[in-house]
Amino acid sequence: MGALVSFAQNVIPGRIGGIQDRSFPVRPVLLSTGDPPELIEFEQWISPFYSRIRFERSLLISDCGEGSSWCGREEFGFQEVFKKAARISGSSGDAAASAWYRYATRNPSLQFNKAVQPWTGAHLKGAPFQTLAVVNRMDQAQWDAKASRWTGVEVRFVYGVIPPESAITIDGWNLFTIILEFTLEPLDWRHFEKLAGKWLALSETPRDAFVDKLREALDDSHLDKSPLVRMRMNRSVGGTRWALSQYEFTAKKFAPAPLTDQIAMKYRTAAPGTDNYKTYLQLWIPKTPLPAFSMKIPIDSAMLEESDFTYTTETLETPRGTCGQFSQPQFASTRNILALQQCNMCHTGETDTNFNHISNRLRKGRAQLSPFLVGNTPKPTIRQLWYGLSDAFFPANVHFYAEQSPGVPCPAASTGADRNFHDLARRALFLSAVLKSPKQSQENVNIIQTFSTDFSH
Amino acid sequence: MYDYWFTIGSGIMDTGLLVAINAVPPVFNLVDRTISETVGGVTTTLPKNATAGLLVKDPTTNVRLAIWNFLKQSPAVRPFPVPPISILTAGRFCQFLTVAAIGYAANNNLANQAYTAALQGADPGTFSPGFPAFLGACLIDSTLATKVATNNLLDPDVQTAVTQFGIDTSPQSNEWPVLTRFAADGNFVTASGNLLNGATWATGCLDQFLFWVGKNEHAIL
Repeated sequence: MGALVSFAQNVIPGRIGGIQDRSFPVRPVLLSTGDPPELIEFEQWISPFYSRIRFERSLLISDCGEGSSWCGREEFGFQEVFKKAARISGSSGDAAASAWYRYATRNPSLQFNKAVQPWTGAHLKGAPFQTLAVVNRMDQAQWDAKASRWTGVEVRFVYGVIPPESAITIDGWNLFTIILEFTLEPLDWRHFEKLAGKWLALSETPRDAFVDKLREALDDSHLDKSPLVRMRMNRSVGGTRWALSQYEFTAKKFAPAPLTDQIAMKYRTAAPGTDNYKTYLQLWIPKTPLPAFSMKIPIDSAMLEESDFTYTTETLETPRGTCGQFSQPQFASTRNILALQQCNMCHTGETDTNFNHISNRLRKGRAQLSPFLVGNTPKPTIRQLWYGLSDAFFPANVHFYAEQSPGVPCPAASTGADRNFHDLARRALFLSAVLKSPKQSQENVNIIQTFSTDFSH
Repeated sequence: MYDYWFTIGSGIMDTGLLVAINAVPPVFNLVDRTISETVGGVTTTLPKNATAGLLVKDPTTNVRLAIWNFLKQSPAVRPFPVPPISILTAGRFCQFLTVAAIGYAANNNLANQAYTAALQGADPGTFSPGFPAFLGACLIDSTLATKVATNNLLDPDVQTAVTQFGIDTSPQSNEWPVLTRFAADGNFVTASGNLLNGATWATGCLDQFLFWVGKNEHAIL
């Protein structure tokens, strides 16, 4: 177990100083000495479950189009799931849809009305969205020791605007996706374990029983008791100018909300010496150490970008006027986390993604998943994960930009680094670790949380 | 390409340019054009572009001349060094102004309103020579425009663009604030959205300063 903990906490998936940055490290393959014992031990420990998980069944289900057993069913469709979310806020589907349409058309330049026409939001019926995916996000769980509960588990439903029948590519105004993210009520250990088993069962269920098993996993998630449902839109509003919007269904309320984890631009571009600049620097050098299992860097709600934020492809530069300081290796993890937990960067330059992790689809097709999610191979082996082999991972190259003052770059300002992504593999390790840890104990919490994340995406 | 961006920007600054081109008049004959690409033995047929067409020698040449002549005498544009105008630029404007689905004139008017609002009393006569081209590039390069709108001078793409176009971004600059206001203006966002999410660039694109993934791959015939 010692080797396992060492492996889990220090190697996969990139936990550095108690902070996880979602990228798998690369380790040299030593042909002369063979695989190290901690790899062998870990492989033996996790394989009984890891080997059984079909990512496309238990983690991210997206086999839509002709022949899909579940995708065309109304119960998983936008209108039914939206209605379920609306009920949480004490509202009818129609009332919530009308409110949403009103909010979404507040900024006419983003042309929401054009993207969803001829729908006008008068009723939920006719909202032109097709199912893209159902996503198990148990990996977002965090252990609340005081309450002895897992919090933050999510189930997500992804939709895209329905393209014309004649479309042969997804383009223009059809580059429009919506996600409904149900945060589950806190789960005790037994329920959490049981739910993990339900998701695993989907990997081993014959096709004709798949819908029933999916329904079971969703029923056991008690979506109707969710304390929070986020609805987020991500869409092209003109070429590579995209807009992100967030709404929240909470008890008795449905309203636009600031974008989770998205730092307002005025902080990033603040001039040295200003209050905004000082506030921004606090994210890079927190006054108090982060909790042991914290993965994201907490961002004060006052610093968040408002809904209907427009963005394009970008990566995170180090703060202005900090030449040298943040180029040091110990800040790499800080930069990587701050960058990846923000929607606009996770969806573009930081993961080398073209705006969508789950793309919209043609009516008879299926969504494309980003390389951040699926890496370079559908299901890497534990050995590939250990060594960070390039045939398994999708490498995104990021740079650390620094500028002393406007137009004056730091000496040796930019260093590049590859980050190795296969997020579904990480989620599979998480699910495996949960299933391998049926007993409640701090040691098991430590191992399970090694593979979790608390980023918003 | 510089002349193309310059011409688009000039049309935003002085909408009379489109009147002058329409007076020629431009000709553009729509055709069904199918492009097949074979890579590694796998053939992909790109979607037909609803705005593809053929140029005609004399009208296109006349549009080329009309653009240059107009720009040389326009009070808004003549302070800037007018580049030679290419057939590519003239051809694009033949397409823009004859294919109704593109709605170029209406969107150019929106962009003009955004520009006028962004000026806030600044005198364009004092702007850098590359200003009209930068303005024009923003209209059809949404990556550039969105980055300009955020006023993030730390962004390396912005750094490259302002350096190469010769835009003054110093604290004393009066042209950089105009550009950031222009790129963030709602009318501009609408105009740019209509053009870039329309049919013109559905198949591929060769018009940008910054790479448009999924489009610029097909830029060169």
